[in-house]
Amino acid sequence: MLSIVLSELTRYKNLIVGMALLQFIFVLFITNLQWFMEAFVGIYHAILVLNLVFGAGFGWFQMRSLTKINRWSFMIHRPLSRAKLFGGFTLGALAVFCLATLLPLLCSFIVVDLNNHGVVDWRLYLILPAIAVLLMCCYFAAAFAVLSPSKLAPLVFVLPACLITTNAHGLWVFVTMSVVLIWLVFICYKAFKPALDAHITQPVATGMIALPIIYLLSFVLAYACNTVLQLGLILTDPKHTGSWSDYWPEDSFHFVEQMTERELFDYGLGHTNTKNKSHLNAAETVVTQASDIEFNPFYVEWIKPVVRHQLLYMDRAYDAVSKIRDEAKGINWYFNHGEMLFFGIHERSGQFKGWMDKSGKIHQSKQSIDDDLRFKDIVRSIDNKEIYVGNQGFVYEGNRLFNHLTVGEGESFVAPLLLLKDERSAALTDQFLYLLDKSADGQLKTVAKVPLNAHLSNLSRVSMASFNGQYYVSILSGTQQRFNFADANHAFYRVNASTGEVTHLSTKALTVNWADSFRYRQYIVSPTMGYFHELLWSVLKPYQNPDLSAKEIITQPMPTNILWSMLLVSILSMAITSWFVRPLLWSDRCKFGWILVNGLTGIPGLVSLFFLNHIKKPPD
Amino acid sequence: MAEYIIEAHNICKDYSNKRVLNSLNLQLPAGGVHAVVGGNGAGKSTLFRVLLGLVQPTSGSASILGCDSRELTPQIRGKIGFVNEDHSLPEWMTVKALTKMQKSHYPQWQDDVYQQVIGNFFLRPAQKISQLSRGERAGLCLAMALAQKPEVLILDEPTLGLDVVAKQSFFESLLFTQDHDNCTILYCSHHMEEVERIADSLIIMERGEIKTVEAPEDFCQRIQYWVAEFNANPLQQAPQKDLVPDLLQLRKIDDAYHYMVLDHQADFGAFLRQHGAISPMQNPVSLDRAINAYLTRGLHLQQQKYLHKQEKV
Repeated sequence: MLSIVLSELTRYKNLIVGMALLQFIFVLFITNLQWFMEAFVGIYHAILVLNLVFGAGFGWFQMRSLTKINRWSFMIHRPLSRAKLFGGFTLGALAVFCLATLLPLLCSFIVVDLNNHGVVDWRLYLILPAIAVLLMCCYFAAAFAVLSPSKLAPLVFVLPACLITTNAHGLWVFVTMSVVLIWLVFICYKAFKPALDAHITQPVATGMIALPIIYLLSFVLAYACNTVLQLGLILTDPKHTGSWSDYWPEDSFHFVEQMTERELFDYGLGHTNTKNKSHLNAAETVVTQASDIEFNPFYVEWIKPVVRHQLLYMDRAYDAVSKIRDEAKGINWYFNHGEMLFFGIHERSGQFKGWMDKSGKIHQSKQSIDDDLRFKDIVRSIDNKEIYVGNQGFVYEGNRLFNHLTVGEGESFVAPLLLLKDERSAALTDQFLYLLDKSADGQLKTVAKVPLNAHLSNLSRVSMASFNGQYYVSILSGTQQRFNFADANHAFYRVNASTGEVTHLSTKALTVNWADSFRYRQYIVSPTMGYFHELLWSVLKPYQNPDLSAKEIITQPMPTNILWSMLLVSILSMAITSWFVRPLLWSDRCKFGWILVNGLTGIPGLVSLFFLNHIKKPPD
Repeated sequence: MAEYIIEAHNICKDYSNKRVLNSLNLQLPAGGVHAVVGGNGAGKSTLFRVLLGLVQPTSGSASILGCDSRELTPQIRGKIGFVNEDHSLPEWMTVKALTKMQKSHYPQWQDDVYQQVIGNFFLRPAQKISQLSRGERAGLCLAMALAQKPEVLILDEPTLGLDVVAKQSFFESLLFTQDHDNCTILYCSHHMEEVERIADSLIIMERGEIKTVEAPEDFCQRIQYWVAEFNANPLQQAPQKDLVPDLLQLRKIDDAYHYMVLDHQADFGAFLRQHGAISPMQNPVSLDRAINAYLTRGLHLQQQKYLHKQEKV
């Protein structure tokens, strides 16, 4: 086995040198350009993507050149077990990756960290095993695509794709990565057999190959079927509402969602009582001149788990999201997610200026700082001077980190403060919209708070307008398709500017207008894959849908016509499968297995059956 | 120990819609050189790949050294040497590095045999594989295959593209080893002089089927080669396929008719005389001509039909 590893290293020595040089050029780049250090975290994603493409490309090239029949016969036909041969080539690939990618990156990170005054958490080095695992995943996916005789084999790339998009945190990152890696190694090993044209027939291996393919096909086919359906409907009826056209019916969620701010307020005023309507319609022009605010809480919600837990990318980049700037002294304070403290770097000299705790006090050594003085949650900074941590807001004033705002326990800011026209401010937490007034001591006091009455992930827009000493608040909910656009409504409030009295003017329920066949398209195409997808992502992305438990996914109400459609697809799939597998020389267990699987997975299962097996009748 | 060292039962192999092997049956005893001959696309290489488990038959089964080809163990693979037509080798390695790798994989490696064979090709250890000539690569492949001390040696057109000197070296090496070890050689070639020289048995393949398995000299004896001239209008008098069911080939060269017949029991000369032939003469037939006539018999008929059609037009 070692001899094969060495042979592979010899073969790819030029490639190793080339890739290593590329990585070192990157080091040179980032160590010499300060702006680069502050660049968006996407640069780390770029490195990741580069290496993933390298992994996949290498896997494809290595196996493609190996599997030419005469070379394959030379390499495979020798007194070595399949495991040893497979191990030789794949360990050879790993050795190439180590030398071409991981080692240069490690060196580059060490160089960066030596210039970084030792403030980088050791956990940041987890990016290296993470890249290694992802590289190998892409490598095995590409290798499998070459080794497998099935034309659908490249679809197993859905497995590494899941890894890249997941926001799993902490050790979960490596657990999910390891599961996918083991999965890919297993199916790749099964495909690494002397007779490359032979399909895999073992039930476990077939199942492990079929599942990701069926999973991806369930999306592709659902969207393809839907597109055809929509195009047909649009052709027959240009005002068809279930499409992406502009013809949303009035009072539907999408109709309201597409409105401008001004239209939204008009709409809100329109569905209040008659008196208000006439009064406020007259003031239409004033509304447009008022201060409008629009928060986009989802960005913050999305970034939250990434910042805190995906240490893999963030801290090393001095992420701009968590930076405050002392203009007088020319010091930038960067938040370190490992220490939960700010550390200062002089922007000209690059000198380390110490650690800053929650109270604004600066320490030269982080060891002496108590836990109470460290931030309890991820810090988000705005305009390099305000920071928000959980239910507290701070402002950096000279040497002082001043806690000027605290909202209710358990709440969390989801957007920065907005200064209104009359020196007042508005702030949005995950539960309330606050109207704030500045007191003499600089603290912001609550004048009024408007309940959001919607889960953050179902919230589309929160807008505010001031008019004649009154504030109007528009809250649009129902954005989440995963909730089936449940609770889609438009709530409208008035806040008395002097007394802070909050009056609920109206809540208008909005229709959804998605046809059931569109909303449950994945369930129709594949009866179980819809559930599987929801369950998988509830595990892989726990932060995305905190309220959507496995039980809720399974017990979600399903319209009767959809249930019948699912049943029909299931029965048809089983019937077609039975018809095609009947004349084959397979065992009854195997035939029954495919019939059952296709009953559960529907059309994607059927497609997989034809592409993963020789369905043609064998000769007599 | 199985009675036959290589067995194939009803093997069929389809590529897309083309049948490459068609209910092929083969049983070869241990020892000797078995030459597989056939036209392009006859299925020779596919048969070898099926035997080595590199291609899965659509139906049927094959075994080699008593082991099912689909489940050849590393030990069995170690006893089967294989040289393919491309002489595919890892081109990025040197001869020395490749030898070292092969040595580490084959426990029964015979260094003396290896040195003897590569000596015939004047190979130097420091040479890169990519810089070797075709003949040198063939020699290296053969050296490695022979040095592993195989019980079965499968050679798939190993001398394809080799010059006379390289071919000579190749056969000397092969025969040298056969003298030393009781190795069964399954050999495929389009060069009949090679087959005639080394083969103990001849396997003729045609369109995925095995037509005959016998000694080359026996096969030659089955074929008679007659030359005759006819009086009057020879086109009408010379017996054609309808009168000679065993006819393999009929050619007219300078007013003389050249007949190749297979398994003709009666006196073919008398038969020709009956049809007006003037002093028909039987000539010796070489293996090359015999196999050529055998393999092109269908083609010959098709050509004849085509020519008749053209004449009518």
